Amino acid sequence: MMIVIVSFVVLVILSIYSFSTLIITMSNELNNLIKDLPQVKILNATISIDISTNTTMINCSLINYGQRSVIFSYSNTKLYVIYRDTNNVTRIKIMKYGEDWYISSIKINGIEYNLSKNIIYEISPGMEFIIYISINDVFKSNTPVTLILSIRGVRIEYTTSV
Amino acid sequence: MNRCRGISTLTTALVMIVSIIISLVTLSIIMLSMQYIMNFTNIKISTIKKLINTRITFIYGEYNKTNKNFYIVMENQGPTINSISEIKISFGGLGSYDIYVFSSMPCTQCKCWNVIEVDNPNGIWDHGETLIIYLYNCTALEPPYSIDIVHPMVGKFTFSFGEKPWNIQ
Repeated sequence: MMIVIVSFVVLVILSIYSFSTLIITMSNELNNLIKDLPQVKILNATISIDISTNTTMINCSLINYGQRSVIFSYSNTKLYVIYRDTNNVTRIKIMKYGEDWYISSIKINGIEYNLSKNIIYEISPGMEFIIYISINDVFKSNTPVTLILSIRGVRIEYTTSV
Repeated sequence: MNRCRGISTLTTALVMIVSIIISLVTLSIIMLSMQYIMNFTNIKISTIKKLINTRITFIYGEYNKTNKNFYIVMENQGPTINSISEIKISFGGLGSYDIYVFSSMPCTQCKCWNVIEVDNPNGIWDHGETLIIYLYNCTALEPPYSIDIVHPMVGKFTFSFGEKPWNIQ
């Protein structure tokens, strides 16, 4: 009888160990999957309008708050700007990286470094950076502007306050 | 006396054999169950990985009062979809839902859809390409709006929109 009891105890311990290992493995796998996704946040955006050239410029401050670097390139990054034009019609502009918008500067230890246009950049975890957007249209004043940044299909949205 | 001891030894031996068999059977059952759970978990993880890597991203959607249609902006982050017209679309608002058919000559009277490929207009929805889907509907729909996109290559995706303040004109 002792053998049976000992065997069962061993089996129960083995089962608990296997089950906990399984849960830990699964949890690690899921965490890695989440970490692999770009985690970027838009902190703020400042809009300036040049009526003489019919152009709107947006300087947008962002941060990579994830644990992995995020690559900005033409193929994996897109920016959408949704705004009201002067006729109060909602417009959506699909902006191409390197052409209509680009990373203008990065911040390292509080110091801002200017970057060249139209280059693929890898933004390290925790790094703050600024993007410059130029749109050939004039926004209606006192209307919110929505910026949607898509990095590898991960949607990051920011709406300016009126 | 010796006979009794012989029977007792035989009984002990039998009990031992039976307990070993029971232990082995139980162990096998538990191991098989664990194997099953492991396989199931691996399938689940690979499904999640596939879902993360194969997906359509909803960017924006709105009703256009002037053109009397809905337009929905989407990005394909999965494999290239060879024929855009083969995509099955169901769309509706609060309390109504309909199947929309692809039409190259859409009108506001039909429940049909058309598309504009932003990056490369070739009838193929490439990886990373943005698509603007126009949905034509003459009946009034109440938000939130919901759209189902189905294609054998990417599966089914459902998106809802129309609840945000910037969608209300």
